[in-house]
Amino acid sequence: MLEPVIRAFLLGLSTGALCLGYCSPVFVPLMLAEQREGFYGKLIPFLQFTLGRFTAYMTFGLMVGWAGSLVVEKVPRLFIGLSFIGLTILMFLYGLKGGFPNLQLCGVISPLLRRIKIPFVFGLFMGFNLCPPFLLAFTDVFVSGEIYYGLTFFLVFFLVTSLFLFPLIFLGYLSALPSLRKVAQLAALIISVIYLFLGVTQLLS
Amino acid sequence: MLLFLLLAFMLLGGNANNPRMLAASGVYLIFLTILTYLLFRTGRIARYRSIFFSTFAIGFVISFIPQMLEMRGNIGLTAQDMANLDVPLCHMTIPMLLIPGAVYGVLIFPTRLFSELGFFPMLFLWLGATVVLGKGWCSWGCFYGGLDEFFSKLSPKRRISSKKFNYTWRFFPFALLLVIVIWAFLALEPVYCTWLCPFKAVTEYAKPVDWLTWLQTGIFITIFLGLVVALPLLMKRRTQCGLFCPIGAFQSVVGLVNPYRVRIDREKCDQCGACIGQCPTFSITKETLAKHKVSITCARCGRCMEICPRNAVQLSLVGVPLKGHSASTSGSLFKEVFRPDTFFVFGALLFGGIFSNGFVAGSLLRIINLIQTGSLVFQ
Ligand code: SF4
Ligand code: SF4
Repeated sequence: MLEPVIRAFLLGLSTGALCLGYCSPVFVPLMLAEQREGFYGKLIPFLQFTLGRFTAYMTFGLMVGWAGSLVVEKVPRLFIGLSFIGLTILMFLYGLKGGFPNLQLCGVISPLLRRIKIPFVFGLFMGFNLCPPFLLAFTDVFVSGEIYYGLTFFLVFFLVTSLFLFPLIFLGYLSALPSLRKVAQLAALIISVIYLFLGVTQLLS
Repeated sequence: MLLFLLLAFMLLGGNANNPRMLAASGVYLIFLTILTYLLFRTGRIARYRSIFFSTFAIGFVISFIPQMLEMRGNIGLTAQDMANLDVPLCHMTIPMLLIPGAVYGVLIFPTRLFSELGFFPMLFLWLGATVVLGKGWCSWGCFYGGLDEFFSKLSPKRRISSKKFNYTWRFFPFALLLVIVIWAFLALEPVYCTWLCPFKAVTEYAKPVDWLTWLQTGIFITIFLGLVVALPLLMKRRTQCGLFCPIGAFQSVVGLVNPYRVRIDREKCDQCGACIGQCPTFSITKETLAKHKVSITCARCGRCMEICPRNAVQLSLVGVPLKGHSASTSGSLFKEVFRPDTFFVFGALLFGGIFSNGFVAGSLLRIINLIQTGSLVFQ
């Protein structure tokens, strides 16, 4: 029970920080543009946005856990282990170089989102952003081969990443973003090392 | 004079029943008084602070390890020591203990709540230090930082230039803080102590019994040799404190409650950049200098004030006009004595002097014992 929670927490921590550093510069101005004055004026779009992310993560957890339960037994362990380690290294390199080898989904779709102007859809896209920690989460859940593990994992993942975004919207610490981005980048580096250690020890045992 | 009297009262008064400690404290008191005199006379805060700070750290190591040997027979902690809650707590653990303590009401470190080196005494000590020193704790109070300082001063020449240094690394302590606080909360274990603390190498650590504990010991020693010894020697900067220590990052944030700040005078500073390469904690960069600011990681060490050719850096109170910019600038003796930097240095020396006395005076006695018996451990 505790294992998916700890692993998702660690990954969520780095993804949340990454979202903050990379996707929020795209999403937050869009969100802010949508917001009206006052607490409720901010709260409603934020809740819609959060619902979008929640939907994305839970769908993902369900589907990947289910897909894993169907095929993971047939995939060679070595292949799984190596892809795990490969992704961890990708995340480590990101942390080291500051280059972000994701599909830059948020950047690519932002002109489209600007036209749609629906916070729920912003949330969906942000949830599906294919950055290294997210892919690592994908692999983790897939390997478990359990729907329950997938749902727990992505629920925690969602909660942790939300922790980062909530104050951003309400407190508007946008001016601190460059520093936070660097902290995020380095947190990803540390977490990739922890994850690598967990992955290798698991593979060996 | 006032500082001398206060220190004399605290240092000697506490050891009235132990003549040997009393004598050693007396020697330390004279040493501190001379340092204080030279510091105020020359205005060279960084130089004399550094001597005090390094002495404190060396005194700590000389005292602590033999003390553990006397208590337990070796410095490696056994499972039994942990089960007995016999482990002295150090300030490094505080950020990790707060959330589990608040949420579950548990202490995730094998120590007692009220014993001499237990949770509450250390918490109050740290709170006091935070109020008096803020982030200045890292230059005046932390015995671990003193080791970093000591090694950074040992080599006469800088062998790795700071010119190509990537200043992004100065955010690493904040990232590490974020990770260990959450990880400790989830695992309910002081993960920094278990896995990363470089000072385990000179204090105490879990006795290596299997591959995992050997790995942990290897990590402590590698980080210690790399960040506390080798890099400070090569760069002449405090690499452990500036680029690794998560507690330093924590102190940067909570230390903002202290009203003292190192400030750069816009009118005097000509952006020559001399201070950038000199700051031991990497707290001045081109970006911060352009804004006439130092980063929140500034440990009030005084180095930039000492080397600035235009005298543009000052230790001052937030909101108070900088020296030479106050409405009335008649340099009376009263004003000289009651300058904000004098107050800070006074408080820091008083705090540091009292805090360090047990270790430094104790280490003096141990050195005498070493000369007499060949061992630092008292029989
Ligand atoms: S940075 Fe860390 S080790 Fe260094 S002085 Fe501060 S608390 Fe101590
Ligand atoms: S900014 Fe100045 S006072 Fe602060 S740590 Fe750097 S050199 Fe020391």
